[in-house]
Amino acid sequence: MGFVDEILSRLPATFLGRLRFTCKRWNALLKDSKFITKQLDKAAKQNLVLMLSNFRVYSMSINLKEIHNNIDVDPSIKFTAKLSQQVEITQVFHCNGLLLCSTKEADKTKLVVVNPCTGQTRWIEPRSDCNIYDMYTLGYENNNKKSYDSYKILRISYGCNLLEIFELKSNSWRVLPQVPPNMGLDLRLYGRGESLKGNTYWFCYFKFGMLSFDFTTETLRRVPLPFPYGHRDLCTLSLSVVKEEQLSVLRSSHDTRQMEIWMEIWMSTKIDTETFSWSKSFVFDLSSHLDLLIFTKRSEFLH
Amino acid sequence: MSSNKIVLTSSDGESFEVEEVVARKLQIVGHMLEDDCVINEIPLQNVTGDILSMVIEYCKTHVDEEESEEAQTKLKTWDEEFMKKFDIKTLLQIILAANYLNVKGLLDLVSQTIADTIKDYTPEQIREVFGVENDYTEEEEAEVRKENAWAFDEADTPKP
Repeated sequence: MGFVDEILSRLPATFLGRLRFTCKRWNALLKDSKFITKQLDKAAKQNLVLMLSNFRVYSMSINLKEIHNNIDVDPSIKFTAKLSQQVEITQVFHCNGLLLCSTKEADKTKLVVVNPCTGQTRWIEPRSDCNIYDMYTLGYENNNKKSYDSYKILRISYGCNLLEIFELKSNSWRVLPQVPPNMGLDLRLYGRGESLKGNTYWFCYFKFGMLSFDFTTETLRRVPLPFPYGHRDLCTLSLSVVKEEQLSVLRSSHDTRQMEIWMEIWMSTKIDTETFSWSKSFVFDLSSHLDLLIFTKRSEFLH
Repeated sequence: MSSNKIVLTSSDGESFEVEEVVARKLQIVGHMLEDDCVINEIPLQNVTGDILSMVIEYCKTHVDEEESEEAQTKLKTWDEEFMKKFDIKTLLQIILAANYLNVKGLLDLVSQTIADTIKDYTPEQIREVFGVENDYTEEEEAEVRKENAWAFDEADTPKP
């Protein structure tokens, strides 16, 4: 049946896990690297929203596109799946379809890199001095062929004075050179960070706005924001990655004493080692829709 | 463009007279014609007449694939309507034929239609449709379940 792979390669990746139980031949096909490449090419890209709740990771499907077609359709949010493991998950970070989870079992912290479509896992022992407030992000080197081995984990220790790297290929931790002194304060990071093209981006509490960690050069870099901003603005900012190409910042007004309520979306137009530029893509004036507004602060949604 | 007629004959002896340009959409036929032989009748051993007639209907519609957006949209709508006529069993017969006759566009279309259909099927229903036997022992199945423990399983939908 030469056409079976034609059909299966058009199914969404999250569905394929279930098909592994069909028969051994199908299971072997689904693991075959040629099939995986074909599936990446043929299947429609899925947009999963992941949520960490009660120590479990859930995936949700959010249907907003019907809104444009029919005003009467309710936008729906459905829980579609959960990672069905036994251990508790305390942190989760998304990078290129992989999840880095910090897990806790019997008071012991462990890290695990998960491919939630295939179920593949790689367990990693943290450093013995790890703290539950340590932050971990996953990234990869951009200059070599992307393989499982080019992934690295960054540990930002609690107190932000120590950066460490774990390389999946060497299976070991190493300490990075000391954080530059004038950047120490910057490392008061806000939020879990977002991954774009292998690098991680965060807002930080102090005046420099945003920081990125480049997993190729293993260095921190300041990223200018296109608007003035102080630490009180943080809760009105939200960072996302759009189509794995651009960063976007949703910014909203926060002064409730004023009747001007607005939201704006900034998109990165150029990101490289030399320059970083932004453009404003939308502004919504919501002043006349005050009764419709529901503000959510610090959403726990990952993507 | 040639207006030669070619007769395609199915495994159950049904004959279809089609324009050469339509017959060439079946790449298997195209290859035979490239050898410069003068062929007027081509037997197609692995396809029955009812399925072959559907393949020909597809090829006739797609014979001049215009690039304009309007023509593309029209073809897409036709494809959707065409696919709605068939149940999953027939779709599987069409895909077998499209694979054998090497009709790329139809193979893509039917593959996508079947994929969209089986998205709601249980593993049991999928086995039945594809005629696949579950050849796992209990231990082997448990092993796959273990490997799959960290995969999102949409069948295992939790209550919010």
